[in-house]
Amino acid sequence: MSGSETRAGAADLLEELAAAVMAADPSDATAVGGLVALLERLAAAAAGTHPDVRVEAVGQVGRLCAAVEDGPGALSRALDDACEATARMQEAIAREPAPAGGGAAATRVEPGRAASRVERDGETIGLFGEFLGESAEGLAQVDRILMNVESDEPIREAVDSLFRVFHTVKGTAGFLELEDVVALAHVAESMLNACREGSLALRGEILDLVFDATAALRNQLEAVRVAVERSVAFPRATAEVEALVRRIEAATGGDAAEERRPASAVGGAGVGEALAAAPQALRARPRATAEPDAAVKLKDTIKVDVERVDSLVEMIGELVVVESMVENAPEIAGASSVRVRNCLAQLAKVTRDLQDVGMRMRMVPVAGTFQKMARLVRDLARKSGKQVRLVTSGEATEMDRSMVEQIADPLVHMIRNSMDHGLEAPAERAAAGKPPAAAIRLSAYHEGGSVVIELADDGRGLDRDRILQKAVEKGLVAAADGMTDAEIHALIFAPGFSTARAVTELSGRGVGMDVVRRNIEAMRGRISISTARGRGTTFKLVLPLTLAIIDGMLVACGEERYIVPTLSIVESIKPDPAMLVTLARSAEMINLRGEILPLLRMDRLFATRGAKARATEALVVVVEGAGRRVGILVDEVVSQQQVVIKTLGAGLRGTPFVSGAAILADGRVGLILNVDELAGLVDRKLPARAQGNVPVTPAALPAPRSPAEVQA
Amino acid sequence: MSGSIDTAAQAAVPAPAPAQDVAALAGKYMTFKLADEEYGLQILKVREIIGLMDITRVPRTPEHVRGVINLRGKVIPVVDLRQKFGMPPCEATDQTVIIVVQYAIGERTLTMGILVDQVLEVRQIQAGAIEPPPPSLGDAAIDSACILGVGKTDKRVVFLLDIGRALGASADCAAAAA
Repeated sequence: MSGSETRAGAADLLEELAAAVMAADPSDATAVGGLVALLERLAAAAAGTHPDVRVEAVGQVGRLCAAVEDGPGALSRALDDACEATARMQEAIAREPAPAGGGAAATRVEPGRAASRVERDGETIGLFGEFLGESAEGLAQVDRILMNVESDEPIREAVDSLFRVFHTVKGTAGFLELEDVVALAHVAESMLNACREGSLALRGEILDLVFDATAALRNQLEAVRVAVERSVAFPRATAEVEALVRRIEAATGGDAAEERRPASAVGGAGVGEALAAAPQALRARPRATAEPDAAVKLKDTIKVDVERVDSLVEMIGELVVVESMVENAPEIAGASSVRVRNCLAQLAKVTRDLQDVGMRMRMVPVAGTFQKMARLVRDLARKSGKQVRLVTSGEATEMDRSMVEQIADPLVHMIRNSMDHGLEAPAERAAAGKPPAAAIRLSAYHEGGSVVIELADDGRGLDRDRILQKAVEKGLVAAADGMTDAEIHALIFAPGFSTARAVTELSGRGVGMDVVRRNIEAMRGRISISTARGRGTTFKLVLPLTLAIIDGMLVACGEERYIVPTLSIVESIKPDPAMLVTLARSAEMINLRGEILPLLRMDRLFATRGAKARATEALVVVVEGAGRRVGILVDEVVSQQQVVIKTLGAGLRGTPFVSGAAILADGRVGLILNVDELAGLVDRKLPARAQGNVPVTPAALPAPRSPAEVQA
Repeated sequence: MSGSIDTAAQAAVPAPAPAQDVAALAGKYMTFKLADEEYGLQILKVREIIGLMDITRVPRTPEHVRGVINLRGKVIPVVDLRQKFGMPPCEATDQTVIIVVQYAIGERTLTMGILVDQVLEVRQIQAGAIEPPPPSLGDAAIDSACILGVGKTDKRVVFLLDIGRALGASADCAAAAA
């Protein structure tokens, strides 16, 4: 069998698995049988090529089997888990389509035994690395749970989690043929199982035993790590461990002893057999390597405090700034030395690479979130009696980790909304000449410097008239006079708007879409709708790549420079005298192709000196924030650049109109304008700022108000 | 280093009300000048001294907040101590510096720059040379609670500042008004 066939097999099996996991019904335990069979086949298929996939698959078998015992609730969670695991495995396969290159397949058919052994060694080491990392994490979790159990009454969930950790360790260790680890994990698991069934109580001596077992397991794993790294045989279990095993057995009672050292240590019944081929690969390991001293490094992952990653990314941002300052310094720019020039070029390159690495550290693919949506669609479809197919694409698109988490909620709202309002019942679809099964497409892709997430359905589309009727009923608008379709469609984002004829379980009570918009805007993203009557609706979310960096337009206003987030800029124009209008000689407005927008003078609002007084010589930047558009009068646009967002410093919290700061290319601090607040000026009074040193002139406000009122 | 500053700052905030034992105030102080007056900062609260640099004005903040600076990638506010204390402002000279201080207010650790006319020296002030602060400061824009004590050395008088109290208020007024 060639390597490429195996891989194709694994990829196909994964596809099948993904579909099966999504289709699995948590209330039907028999469905898990099929999943387990698939996972076993997958583990076998991935054996030679993707050790991490194999480990993951085996782990999932264990988890699913455990979950079946725990009932539908646990199974539903386990299925969610399996969903994510499938995504990870697909990613792993996609990332390394040929882990050892074409050569791997070749070595396997060639009689070169030595070559194939070396390759297996590397793979085995990978397996051990994963196992050790996972187990260490699990044991850390055990520690946390035990601490809580000691202080509180043991709760069922705590016992369940403890059981699961030992179970997982046992499963993987069995597969890796670590018999002593299996023996210990097995008795501990049996004891915890007795706790779950209520025949033992997790306190006193039992609790101590769990502590001891955890400590002993940790020692064993450390010994395994050392053995793998030094390429030596695994040490035999020490007398203490054996004594501990016997103590645990004694505490558990008779039946555990019978179960001891089961034929197949792995959780699922058939898994051991399915993986029977594997141990041979493992046996060829360390001892067979020529030099016992050659240090083998286990592939290791560490969990890092997000704060540290952030501070690293932040510092890289500074490095980029400093680098460009050095490069542009007149003394350096004038230097003609080839050596200096080369060094500078090198420095620039390393800096960019570093920035790239830094950015990627926080990025994760959207696949996990997409798969959650798949389950949601399945659930909702069953409840609503509609036939719906979710088609996803671009799962590998990466976004900032925190954003991937934050888009989940809005997506849930939007999908619920689509399923409830957008998609027709099968009969209605048939009448419209559509296939009975509706399709929802969820896709992610990059566009410019942004990530776009698109949710499209092939339902009935937005109903302009019904939206309008509803909006008038709710008092959101007076009449449709002069409203464009886009404006009417945007009404569904208005707070308290809901067109559902009946409040259903699915779409709730009209709190959905305005929350969606708020959440998206909180991420500095934008949402837009396009719809065609009878053919469907598409929601498009445009989001920044990361929350730490924004694209900004640097604008000048007198002596000051400000950064306007590019995402909120609609356009910028040089105004014609004919476009400028004033009300009561003070409130300035601009007539932008028929749309009358209030005009904010930055220099008056912020009391900057030296700004251009005549609007016709200046530039109007039209921004959109909080759902409103407003023109901001600035002297000029200086440049467009990416900036790292920083807070203004702890002592200046709550400064109005400024959302943060950034270090500019010249090392100075630039302020990032809070467009939402600026746009919000349009219809509310300025907050009273008694200590503010800037008297607000009425002209800075769009509506004429007396100064006294402004100050009030 | 920074750890010890944090602890010192934290420990000092709930610390001595003016009337308390002034002996505990003995220690090293960094002294600086505002006009012809001399002030002292507890040395553990001083992080560094930097020359005057470009300060970006932040609109709609209290008068004494001069703006923000880039302290090696960190954005920190700078307070003009003259204006904070209600003294007439003056043009910057080549002696003008920013002292970066760090102190804790409740849960927050604040790093701020204070703009002063001139830094003098680091001086050991003995317990015997410290008097409790005067009970009332009359019309001054500074609260007597901000003065830990009054040090006397070489016939000169140094007002020992509780910088957390002195600036804490200014930090809060920006936040409170929001």
